[in-house]
Amino acid sequence: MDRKELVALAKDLFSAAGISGHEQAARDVVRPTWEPLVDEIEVSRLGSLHALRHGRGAAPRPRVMLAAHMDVVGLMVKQVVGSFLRVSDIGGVDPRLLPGQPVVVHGRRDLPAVVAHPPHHLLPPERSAKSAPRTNEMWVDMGLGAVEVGRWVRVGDVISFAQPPFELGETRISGRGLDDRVGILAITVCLHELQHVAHRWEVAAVATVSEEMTFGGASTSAFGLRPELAIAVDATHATGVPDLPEFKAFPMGGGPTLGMGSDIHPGLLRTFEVAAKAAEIPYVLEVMPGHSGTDARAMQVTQEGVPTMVVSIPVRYMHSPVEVADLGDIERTGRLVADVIASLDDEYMQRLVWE
Amino acid sequence: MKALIRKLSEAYGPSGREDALRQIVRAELRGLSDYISEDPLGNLHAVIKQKARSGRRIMLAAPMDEVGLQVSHVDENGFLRFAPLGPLEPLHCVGARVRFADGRVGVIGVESRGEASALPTVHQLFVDVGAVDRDSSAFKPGEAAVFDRALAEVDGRLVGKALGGRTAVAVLLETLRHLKRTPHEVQFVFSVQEHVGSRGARTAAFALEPEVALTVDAAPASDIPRGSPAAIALGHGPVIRAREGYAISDPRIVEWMATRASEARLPHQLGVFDTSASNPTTVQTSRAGVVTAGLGLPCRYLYTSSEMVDLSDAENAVKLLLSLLASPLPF
Repeated sequence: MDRKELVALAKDLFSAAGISGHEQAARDVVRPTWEPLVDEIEVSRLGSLHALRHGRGAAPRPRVMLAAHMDVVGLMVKQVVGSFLRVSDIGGVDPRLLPGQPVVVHGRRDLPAVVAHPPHHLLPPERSAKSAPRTNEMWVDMGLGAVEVGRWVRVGDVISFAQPPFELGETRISGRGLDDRVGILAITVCLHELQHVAHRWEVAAVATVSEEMTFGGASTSAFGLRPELAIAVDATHATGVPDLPEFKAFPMGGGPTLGMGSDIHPGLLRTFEVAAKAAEIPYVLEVMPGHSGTDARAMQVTQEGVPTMVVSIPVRYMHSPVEVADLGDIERTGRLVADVIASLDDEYMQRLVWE
Repeated sequence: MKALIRKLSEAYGPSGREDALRQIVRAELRGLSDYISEDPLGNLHAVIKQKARSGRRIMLAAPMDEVGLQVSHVDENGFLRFAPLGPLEPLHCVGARVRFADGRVGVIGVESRGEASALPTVHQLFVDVGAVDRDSSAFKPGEAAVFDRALAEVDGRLVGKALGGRTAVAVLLETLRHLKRTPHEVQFVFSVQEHVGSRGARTAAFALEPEVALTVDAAPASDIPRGSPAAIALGHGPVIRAREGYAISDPRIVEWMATRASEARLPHQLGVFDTSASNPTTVQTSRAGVVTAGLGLPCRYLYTSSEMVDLSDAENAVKLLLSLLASPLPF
C-alpha cells in the first residue's frame, strides 16, 4: 500500500460518519477495504467488523485479535424544538469547540446544519461571555422550517462534524474522526504487509463499535472470537504544540507509542520492542498505569483473560473536527504490528510469561 | 391492570431484597409460560419457547427492586443513620415515612442545620423509629427500608412509590398474559438489583443468551414546570429510548419499534437520556453482544415517594410489545 493509496483511503474513512452506536457508514468503507485482504469476513451482533486471515501453523492455530475502533464522537438529537434541535454529546465532544461548527444531521436524509450558541449579549446575566459554553444551551440550525424539520429529523438521529479531510504540509493529514480511523488505517497497512508473510497464527482484524461509550464492541468481539492475544491500535495525544506539557503527550512522526501499564502484558510489550528494534522502527514508551482508555481494557478481562497490548498513533487536537496525524506514524504502526504477527510461532504462548 | 400495579407498587422490595415481589410475580406467572426458573441472584425467568424457524431469542426485562435505604448505625438514642440503597436523593427524604421488611415504620428527620436553605446531605439525615435508646431498639444495622406509601389515583393518573419500575413489571406480566402467537423464544425476566447497577439483568442475559433485548423501565418525564429539554410527557405513549446513559440503542431496533408503533397507530415518544440510574450496557455487552434498546414508561418524580404514571402509557406499552412480538424481526 503506497502513500497515495493510504491518503485516498484515509480521506474516505475520515469522511464517513459512524458516530458511536451508529457505525454503519464507517463499516461500509472498511468492509470492502479489508475483504480482499482476508479469508473470511463477518459482522458481529453489535456491528463490529471481523476480518479473519488464516495462518499456516498446525491446527488448532492460536489467534491474535487486532482492534481499532471505527466509531467516532459526535452529537445526538435530544429534542426537536420547532425548526431547531437540542443535542446530546456522544463520546466526549468538548462544548468549547461546538459553537459556529458546521455539522451534518443524519436524519431520513443528510442535512447540512450549523451549531449555534446565543450571542453573549443575550445570555442570562450570570453567564458572562467568558464562561464556557454548555451543550444544553446550544442549538442546531438546519435553515429549514418546522414542518420540513419534522419530516426529516427525529429524536435519536446522530450528527457529525461536517469538516472534510485535507492534507496538511508534506506528511500530515487532518480532519474529523482520526481517533481512531488512524488505527483502522494502520491495521489496513498491516493486512497489506501480511499478504507476503507466511504467518503461523490466525489473525482477526476487528473494526470495533462503541469504544467511545462502552468499549462494548471490543469486549463482545473478544468474547466471540476468543483470541489468545489482543492488540488495541488507537490514537494517543501528540505533542509539539506550544504550551502543552511534553510529559502528557508524544512526538508526531516519532513512530507509534507502545503502552506500558495495567492493561498491557509485559511479555507482549517485549515482543513489540524486539520487533521494533529489528526493523529500526522508532517508538516511545507510553506509561498507562490505570485504564488505558482503549479497547485493550475491555479485551483483557474477557472470558478467562487475554494478554493485551496497546499500540498508539500520536494525534493532535483529539475529538475535534481538525485532528492531525502523521502518515509515517500510521505506516510504521501497521508495519510493526505485521512484523510482530510474523514473529509469532506455535510455541509463543508457552514462552509468554509475566516474569 | 390497575389492581396488579397497586399490589406491585405497595410491596416491599429494596435492591437485593425482592422476596415479596418474587412471590407476587411467581403467583401471577402461574400457567402462563413454558417454564419458570429462578437464577442464583434471584431473577425470575419465564420463558415462552420458540415456535417457528423465523423466530429469535428475545429477552424482555423489567426491574422488581426499588430505591431504599440501609441502616448503617443505631445511635445511643435509638436514631438510625443510613446509606442510600440505589439512587435515593436526600432532597426527597426529609419527612418521608419509611417501612421495613416486617412492616415497622419510621420517619426520616434531618439534623438542625446552620443554613436552612442548603440541601441536606445524607449524613445529616436519620430515621426516627420512636425508640428511646439503643438498648431497647429492635433495629439493627443492615436492615433496609423503602418509602411507605399507598397507591393513589389523581385525575386518572396513578401516584405511588416504586411506581415506574413496578408498572414495567405489570407491563411484562400483561404482555405475557395476552401473548397468543409469536414465532420467537420470548424470555420474560423480572430482574433484581437493577437500581444498584443492573446486576440482575446482566446475569440473566448471560444465562439466557438472547439475541435481542428490550429493557422495560420507567423513563423520567419532563412535562413539569421548567422541565428539562428532553420533553417526555405523561400520557403521550411509551418511550422508545435511542440512548440511555452510555448505552446507544441499536438503530435497527429503534427503527423497528417506531415503525411498528406508527403502523399500529399507537402513541409513542422517542427519548434520549444522557444519564441513567440503571445500566443497560450490562445487557448490551453480555457475551458476544445483544442487540438492545429500552422501552420506557413516562414517570414523573422518579425515585421519590410519589412517582406518577399514566395508565394509558402502560396499556400502550403492552399493545406495542404484543405487536412487536407477533411477527419475525425485520433485521
